[in-house]
Amino acid sequence: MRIDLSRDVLAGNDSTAEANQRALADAGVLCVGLLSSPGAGKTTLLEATADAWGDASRLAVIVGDVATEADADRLRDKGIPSIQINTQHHGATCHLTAESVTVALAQLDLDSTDLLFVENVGNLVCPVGFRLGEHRRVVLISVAEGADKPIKYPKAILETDLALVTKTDLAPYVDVSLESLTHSIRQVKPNAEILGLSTKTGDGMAEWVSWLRELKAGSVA
Amino acid sequence: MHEYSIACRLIEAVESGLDERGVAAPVGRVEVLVGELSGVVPEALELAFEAAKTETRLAGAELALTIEPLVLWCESCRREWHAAEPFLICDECGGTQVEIRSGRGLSVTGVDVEDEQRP
Repeated sequence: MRIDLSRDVLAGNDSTAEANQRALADAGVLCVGLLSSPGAGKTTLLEATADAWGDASRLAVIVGDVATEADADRLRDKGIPSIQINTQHHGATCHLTAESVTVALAQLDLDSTDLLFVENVGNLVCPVGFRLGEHRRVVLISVAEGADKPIKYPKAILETDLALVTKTDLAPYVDVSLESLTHSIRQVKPNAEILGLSTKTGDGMAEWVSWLRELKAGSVA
Repeated sequence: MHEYSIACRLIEAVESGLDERGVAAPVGRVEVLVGELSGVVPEALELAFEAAKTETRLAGAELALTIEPLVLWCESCRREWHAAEPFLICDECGGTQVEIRSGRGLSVTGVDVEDEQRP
């Protein structure tokens, strides 16, 4: 006997993500998700953001990695309350799930948080389809990865709200520039919002922090 | 390889759908729509499903996959086409008012269950 079942496979994750997003908005917390390949500079960006933000204790981070507390330790050293999720204990090693974020949220003091970052497992494929409750999603691509990465991993560009080109100080050594990466990103999404930055030199950090502050000042959360 | 977690969620989606309908019979076949832009590799999903289905009531089930094509629409040309890549630029006029019409889907559309009277 055939039974008609019209069900989105990720509906369960999506509804948990929506509940996370509502809980965060109710607490007045803006949530920004970070996606990238391993080593694009997500944690370093957050360390630099803590310095630029003013009061790091008003930030919070939920960070996913297969193993270790290394990233959460680095961020706590910067004064950012941070929760580490080791995905090897959550049944899906290559990405965070909305449920794992719900568990982590319960360990944070949302009333004293203005801005929460969710740093996903380094991977440009698997995390893309799993919404976590972020108000905005940012993809980081470092110049050292090569200019063709946006067209090779187009969904990571399509399903995010801002593309951050990182490590721009390395551009002269790797023959990839902010311009060539911008071109590649716009091949996928012509209207993509793009910022370039280097945490090493500080170039572009002001624009990144303004992007966050404008979002925070707006009606998102 | 996120197909394993996708396979687990697919099984949960079928189980909850059948629970809501009060159907307890074992499942023989699951129809799944896989979009070309869903980020799921059909062969990897089939392999992961084999591993994930054991000790569930889908243990004897097979997947019947239908591919949902990636279809883009150009607002300027008023034209849609089956695109090889999800690049939001019209391949005829170069216009950028392009939207994704289909191809993102990842859903269960139906199941076959062994005949058994429904409560």
